[in-house]
Amino acid sequence: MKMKKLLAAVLSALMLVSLLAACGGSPSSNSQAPSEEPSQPTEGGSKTYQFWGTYEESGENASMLNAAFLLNLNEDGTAVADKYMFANFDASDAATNPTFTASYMSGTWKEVEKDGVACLQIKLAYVDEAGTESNAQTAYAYDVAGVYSFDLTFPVVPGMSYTRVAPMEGKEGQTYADANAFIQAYKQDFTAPEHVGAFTDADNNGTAYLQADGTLLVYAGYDKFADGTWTLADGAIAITLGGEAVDVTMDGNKATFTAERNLGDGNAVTYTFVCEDISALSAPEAPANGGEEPAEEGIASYEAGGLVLVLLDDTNMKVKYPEYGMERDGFTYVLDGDTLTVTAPGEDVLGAFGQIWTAMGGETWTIDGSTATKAG
Amino acid sequence: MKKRNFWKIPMAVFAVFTAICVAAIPITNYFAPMINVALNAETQRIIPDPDAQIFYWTRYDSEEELVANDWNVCRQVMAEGASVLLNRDNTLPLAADTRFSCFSQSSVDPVKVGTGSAFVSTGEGASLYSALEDSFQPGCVNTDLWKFYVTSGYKRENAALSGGDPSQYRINEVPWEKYTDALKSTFADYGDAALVTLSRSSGEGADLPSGLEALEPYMTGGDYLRLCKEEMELLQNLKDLKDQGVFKKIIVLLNSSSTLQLDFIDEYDIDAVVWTGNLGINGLPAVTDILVGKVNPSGRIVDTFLKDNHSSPAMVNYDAFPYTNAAQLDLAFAQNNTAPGIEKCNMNYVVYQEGIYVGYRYYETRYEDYVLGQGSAGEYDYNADVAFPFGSGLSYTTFEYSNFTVEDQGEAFQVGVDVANTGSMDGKHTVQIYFQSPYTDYDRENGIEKAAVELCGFDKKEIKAGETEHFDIRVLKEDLTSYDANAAKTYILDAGDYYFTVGTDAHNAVNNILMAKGADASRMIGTGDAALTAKWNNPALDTTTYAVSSATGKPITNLFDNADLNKYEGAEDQQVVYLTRSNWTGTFPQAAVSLRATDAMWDDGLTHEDAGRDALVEQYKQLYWSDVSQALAAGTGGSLNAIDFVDKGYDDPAWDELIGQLSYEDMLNLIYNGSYQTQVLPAINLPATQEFDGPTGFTKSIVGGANGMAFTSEDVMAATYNRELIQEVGKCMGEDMLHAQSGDNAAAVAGIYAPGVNIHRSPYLGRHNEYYSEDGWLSGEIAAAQVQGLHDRGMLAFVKHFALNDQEQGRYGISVWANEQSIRELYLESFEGAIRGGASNVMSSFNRIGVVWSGAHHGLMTGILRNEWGMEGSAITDMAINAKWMDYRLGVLAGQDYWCGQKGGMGTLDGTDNDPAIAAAVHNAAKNVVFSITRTNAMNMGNATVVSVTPLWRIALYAATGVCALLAVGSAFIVVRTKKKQKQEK
Repeated sequence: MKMKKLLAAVLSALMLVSLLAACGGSPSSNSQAPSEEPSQPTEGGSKTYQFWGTYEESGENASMLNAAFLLNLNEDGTAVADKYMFANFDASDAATNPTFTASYMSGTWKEVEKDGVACLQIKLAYVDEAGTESNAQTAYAYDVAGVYSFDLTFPVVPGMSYTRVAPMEGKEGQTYADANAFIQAYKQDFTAPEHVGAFTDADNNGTAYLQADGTLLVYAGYDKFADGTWTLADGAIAITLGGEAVDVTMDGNKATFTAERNLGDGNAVTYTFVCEDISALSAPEAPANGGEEPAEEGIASYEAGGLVLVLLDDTNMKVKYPEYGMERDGFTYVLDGDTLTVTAPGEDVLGAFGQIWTAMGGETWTIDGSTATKAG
Repeated sequence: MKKRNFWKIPMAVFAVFTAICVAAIPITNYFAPMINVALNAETQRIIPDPDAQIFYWTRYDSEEELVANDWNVCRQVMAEGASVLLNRDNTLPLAADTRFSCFSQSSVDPVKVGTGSAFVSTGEGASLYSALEDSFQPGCVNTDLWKFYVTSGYKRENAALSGGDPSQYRINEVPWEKYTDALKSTFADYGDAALVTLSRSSGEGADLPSGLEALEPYMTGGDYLRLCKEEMELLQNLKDLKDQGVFKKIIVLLNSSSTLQLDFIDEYDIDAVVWTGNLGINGLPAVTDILVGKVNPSGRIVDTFLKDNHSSPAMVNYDAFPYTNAAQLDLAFAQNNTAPGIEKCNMNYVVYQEGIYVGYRYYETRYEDYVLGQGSAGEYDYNADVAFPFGSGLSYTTFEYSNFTVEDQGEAFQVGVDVANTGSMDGKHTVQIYFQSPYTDYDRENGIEKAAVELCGFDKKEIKAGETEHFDIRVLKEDLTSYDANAAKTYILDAGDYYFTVGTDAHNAVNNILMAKGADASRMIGTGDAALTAKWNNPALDTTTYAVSSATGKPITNLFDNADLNKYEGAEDQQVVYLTRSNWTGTFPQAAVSLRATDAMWDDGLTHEDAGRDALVEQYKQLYWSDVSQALAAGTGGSLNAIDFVDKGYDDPAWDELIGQLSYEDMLNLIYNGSYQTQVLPAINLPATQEFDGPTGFTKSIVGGANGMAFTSEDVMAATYNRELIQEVGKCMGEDMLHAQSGDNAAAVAGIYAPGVNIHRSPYLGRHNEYYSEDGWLSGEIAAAQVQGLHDRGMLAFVKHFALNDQEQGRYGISVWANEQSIRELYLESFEGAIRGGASNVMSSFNRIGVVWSGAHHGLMTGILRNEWGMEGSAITDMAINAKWMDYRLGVLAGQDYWCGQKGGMGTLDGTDNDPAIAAAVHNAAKNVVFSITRTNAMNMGNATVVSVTPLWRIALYAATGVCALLAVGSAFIVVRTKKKQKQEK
């Protein structure tokens, strides 16, 4: 039995390494030394420094771009920058974490006097499997009350021109004991959208979140790839995705639908979403409108076609155009009974919003409850 | 005790791994071209030809030698491009023992390159500190002040590259309150000169803020190109210190490609101003050489520098404006290619209502009309708008012109002038030749506009002190024509008097002509000299001579009616009043044009629906390919090789035979997967190639690890007015690329997505640094020189972004509306110059021309590019990811050859091999790509055999999948067997 256990463990480990190698995340493949030895001995003697910093973008690119960097300036004059792509929400052990790349960039460092000021000179480059360097850079970090800083320029696609900049800050010595401490410091937890129920595809790690207002959000892992609506009537659930009705098959209270994530060129992943018991769901509170209700603002607000007129105080008003996420201050108004008279600001204030106001706005409105209707 | 079945663990692990691998296969397939480039993965094996003829040898024995030359050329470009704009009381050059205090956080962190496709690392370059010490003397810089800035924590911020917006820019200058008394006490010791660096960065993805209310706390009027309050405070304090005798001189370096609003020059007792643009890696030493006089400055600015950047008529319509009914039509846009809305990108438009009146074409023309009291120019105050005219630049010596002559030689004019160096210092001088075409009744009746002056020739020579050089400059008569889109519908040469002049700048040129016309000098700003003009009379309107392309012999007529709201029927009642010099005050744009999308606009190109695009495909077939009745053969087999075609002319019928050897699948692979590469084609032994960004240098590293050279911004290159030097820049980029070749089987580095030749329609253009000038003709001349240098080294130059991509806001799919005269005479003139100067490749732009995506605009991609200009080569798209409007079928039918992206997302060409029209277009596209590659260093392999191979990463993935699956099954088998055994034992 011991032999069998050992064999199983060895096989598992072997496969893990080969898988990571194929994905470019193998610790061994990434621990490659820089092709060039430090040109001069380290002046700092036994000093070491550690730097950290992040690059963050909001939106769809987050999981591909957002990263934290841990740069170690080692005693031997080598500089090694690890990369942790925290927006994938994987805080597992650095040795096997596919979103952590040891030695993403590497190079050398030394203490120098640059332009009359003592600083750290840090040279980094991406080094590929063949030992070829690219995206080489030289940066200088200056001491401000014991804290050093510089901008790390890192390639999005190694070897190519498109780069991003992560502001780095650092100190002498070691702030993070190791890569795992760094991961724990920078890890992020995935926050699922608010939901009142869900369909899941356990095999493909997919989840379709049912929101209280009838909105349906479909996720592959942590990436939303589709949205739609859901309604519940007479024990039957109806679903739309991208404006199209989707077939939902029922097996007792178990409901199933499929959704395809298109990867281009006919490559697609089909998700089979299952809700084991839809009888546990309550019908949505209101038909989905594809967006959140605007937050309460000002002293009153009125739906006005595609616009929202927000009365800020007794005279001032702003106009919102939620469709484009645009709004402009600077409007004034007079409310006389149910007649709202609006004065728009000049072109210099309106800018591009002037187009929207010209097309959809107006001077006189009739108020009825929370709705404003353009007069005439 | 219950026996545990340990094989469940590996079974579960392997099952999970198998699932991951299986899921990874389609994902990695989709991104395979990108992964191949990123991993430098081999996709081909080349069985060498020992007798191969090397067409393109490197000129350098070592990489060190190459890099050293690159650095020297960069320095020379700055030496000849940096322009001294102001030099009160001969402040410059400074004495060699001058001691400096360098002010602004930008002095320790100047702008060397733009962001995005222009980015190349510059950390190794000289600092202002070291450059000053080298040019002057060690110890000449105030180190305390330097240290103050490097440790201040203040630094500029750029907008994000993807999905960025103008509101993200920050200047972040250090407030004066941070300067301690101790620091101020050091100024006197370094008081010869307060050297102030004013920097502004720019880059791809977002235009510069030009008046964002939300940015008021960070910049004056929310305007990035105005001095921020911290900078004003700094200059005011320096003026006060100068008044107190602490500083002797205040010198300003304008370290920005984008032209700062120069409304402050007279306010702070500034003694000298030097424009440097973006410095590149080694431009700073040239700037300090200019300060000390080791280099006599000879740069001449290539944009009009303004006191009020918003005075330009283009600024009124400079933004991405949503169609007023965008919401009803469910239009959308995205500012990066993975954002929601990218599949539509049909929401925005911009109207070039100012017509041809961009840059000096506006300011100098309105000025002339004011002086002559015509065209309702009003009380136009030129001085309130213009700080330094186009073409300005001072020297440390003086030059005088004489013997100005113009000889009509039929197709061209020979313009001659003697230039005497009347000062005491040797120096280079650029002669700028301008012409004025008559603004006739015919023009007024037919909506043809004329600029007061246009640059039509230049040359640059070194002239020794006290000596005289003669300049002979040829001006093509063709360059004097105007485009008449309304009556003749072709190029015309108006009847009347044409003036030629040599001017120190565009304004001086107008003044010379005004003097020749006998204008009232009291209304003029500056002086002119009638003796430096020549008049030529064209006795009759000529509407035929230039109606035929001199490059191809093909007729020239309107191709952009669908981009002009006044001609495009689909615009319905939406007419636009273009700015005209016959009524300046009555037609100057007052507010952005308001536009709604019509049904016809939707049908003609705004549609994001498959059915709409299908209908357009059928229209294109009928319009452009109706003479094709039978699908061309593909995959015919045969023994022709690409190497046999390196000298074959484009029209040689043998090309069809060669391309026919390719399978249709090969052709589509070539067209779909052009992301920084072309695909290997073993059927004709054509190797794979790699292409890279960018306009200010080769953006990948060369083999030894050094970066490609970061040159200056393109406007500095143009400001040299030195074709030979810029050709050398092209050669340097080409050499960097030759030295980036790694491994015998690696794809040849064969092309660069550069130069950028869009027009500086506004100083707020995000990619200002990637484009040469506000002047299309000058841009074309300089671009041609750079392209010739790249071709000399066996590299393709993809001139970009073709066309009318003159802003970053809304660049994905924005509808650009403009009249044909301005499109041809300004926005396409730069491309025309490049192509007719030898360029064989373009990169089409993201935007639409009217409502038609540029790559699918037949008039653009075939009508003008090939039929009129005669381009023989290939057109790639801008980055095509999820960009559904950049439809493959519409593109190839219009003349677009391949897509810079991965297959998918833009419709499909699959299954079209039996469609005669599309198949013919696909053949044509494949031919253009293959033809281009045969003109590159990729052919250095000679008659080698090329074999396609599966990259190692893909083999590893397949192997891992297979092994995981086998082990999962094996483990499962053991689990089952063990269970059975356990049951039996029970």
